[in-house]
Amino acid sequence: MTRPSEMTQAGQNDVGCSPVGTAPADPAVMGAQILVVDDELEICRSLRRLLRRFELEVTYATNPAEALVMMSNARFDMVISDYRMPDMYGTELLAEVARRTPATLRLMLSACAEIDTLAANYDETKILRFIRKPWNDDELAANLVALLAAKGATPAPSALTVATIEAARSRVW
Amino acid sequence: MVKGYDQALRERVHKQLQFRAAVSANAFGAVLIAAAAYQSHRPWLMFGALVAHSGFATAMAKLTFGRSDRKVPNLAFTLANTIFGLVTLHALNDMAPAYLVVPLMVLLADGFSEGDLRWHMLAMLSCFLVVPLALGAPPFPVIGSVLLGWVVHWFSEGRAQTLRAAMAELREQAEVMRLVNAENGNLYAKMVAQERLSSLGLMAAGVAHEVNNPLAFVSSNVNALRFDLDKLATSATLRAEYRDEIIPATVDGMARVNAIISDLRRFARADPARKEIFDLDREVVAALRVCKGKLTEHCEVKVELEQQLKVEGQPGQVCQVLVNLISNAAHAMRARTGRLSVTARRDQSDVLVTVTDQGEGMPPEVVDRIFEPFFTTKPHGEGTGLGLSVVHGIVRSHGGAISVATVPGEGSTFTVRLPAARSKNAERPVDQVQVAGASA
Repeated sequence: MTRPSEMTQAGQNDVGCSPVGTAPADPAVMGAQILVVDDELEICRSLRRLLRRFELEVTYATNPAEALVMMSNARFDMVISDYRMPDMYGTELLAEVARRTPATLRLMLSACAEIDTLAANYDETKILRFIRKPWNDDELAANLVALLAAKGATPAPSALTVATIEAARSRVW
Repeated sequence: MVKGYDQALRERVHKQLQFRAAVSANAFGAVLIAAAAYQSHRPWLMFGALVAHSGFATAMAKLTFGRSDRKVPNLAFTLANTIFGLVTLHALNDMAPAYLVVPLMVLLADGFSEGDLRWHMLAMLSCFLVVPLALGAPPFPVIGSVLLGWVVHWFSEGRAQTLRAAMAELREQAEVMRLVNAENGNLYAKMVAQERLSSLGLMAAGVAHEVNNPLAFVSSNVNALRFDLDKLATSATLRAEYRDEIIPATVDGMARVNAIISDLRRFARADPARKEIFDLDREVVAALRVCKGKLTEHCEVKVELEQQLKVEGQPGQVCQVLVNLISNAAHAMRARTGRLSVTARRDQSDVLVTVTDQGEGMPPEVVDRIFEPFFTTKPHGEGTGLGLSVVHGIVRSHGGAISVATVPGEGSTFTVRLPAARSKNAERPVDQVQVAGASA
């Protein structure tokens, strides 16, 4: 079993060889509400399973219209959207999120090579971070936790989040 | 090689002219010698000369023809002809007809570009001019025949030179054409290779999406399993989740990655010498899967395929044709809502594939040129302009034909007609149908 302090190094490992970690429930971000939007159901499910370990509440929608309905019923701390979806591109959805709730952290997921172009065209005020598929579980989780902790009103972020904020600085993960 | 060709040509012209001149001059010389023998007071000597002349002519013919180095034969030829000529002329009482042999001899000695023969010729003509005059022959026939000899030489030389110049020019042109053709061939082959690479590149980008999605959840699921391993023994809910949800999804994800990779392999296998019989409908399915990333959400895809459409050729190339046509159709519909339909069916002894889009269509001046290499309507840098020309080439090399029907503003239909493979066991076992169905 790995102690939470070791989790900070998980980010440097490749997808398949990260240490097995217990969920390092960060009190600062516990219970944060995340909405995942991806037309690929299994992507939503695997993200929810991953983030559940970190005590993050994940809701998902498999199309943008459904996501917009969910957003009018609940408040989310973070929206992670796929780029290519039927009916609407993720960029359009996130623009709508920015219009409705500017405080919501907006992240983009993409399996395509176009992610670097997107990152160049959308500054941090529009889309905060870009996540490449496939992602590294531990790195992704740690970075998300860091972003949520930095956003949260917690006066003193935990050791874990301070360590991962650096890693989360890069725009494209 | 060019030098050799030139040399061979020269030899041929030279031989032909020399042969005719030699035959006529020797025949004429023989007649003159016979006449001289008949008239002379020493007939035996003249008959001996006739025999020697014939023997010498034969030996010279053997020595001269087909030899590139003629220095010695040329000298022998000039000396012999001069001596024989003078002796014969002297022996004859009636000089006038005898002088006709001189131009023929000159023609026989036709020097072309051989420098030493010009001097031989000058010496021989001088002998024919000076010796008879010195011996008291009437001047007009002598001067006339020598002049005639010179004129004949001048004409034949001029004609030969013109011929040589024309030949050289033709050869140069042929060489230039050969170089230009080789250059064009190289350029085209290079561009075709580049088009293949660029369509592979475009495809790779589309395929990345199809591979990365399943890969993302597969790796995340496996990672989750490592995390949950200890809890699995105690938690029945977790076990159920793995059994019903996570593991099936993971297996399915890997199958999807596998399918895409085998499509790519299908595209990449290109052994130009190898032909095989394959199912065209399966290539259509593979091409559609590869193009999935290019089809926008406004584009409704309708597919109608007959099964087991056997075609002989290279499935990778045919798949390239289909990918190209489908991605063109998708491109034509990028800003429109409509249907993209792909059909494949039998038509007598052929197999017909149609790719129809409800895109922007093409004006006639574009339709006329779409199969031309380097013609493109895409902005500079986006299309090589080779896609459809390569498609055309591939279809032709499979013994087929491609045609297009289009209405500007309404859409286009590309029809590819390929000859169906003639196979003894056209009816394959049932499991083949199921495999085809499964891959679709």
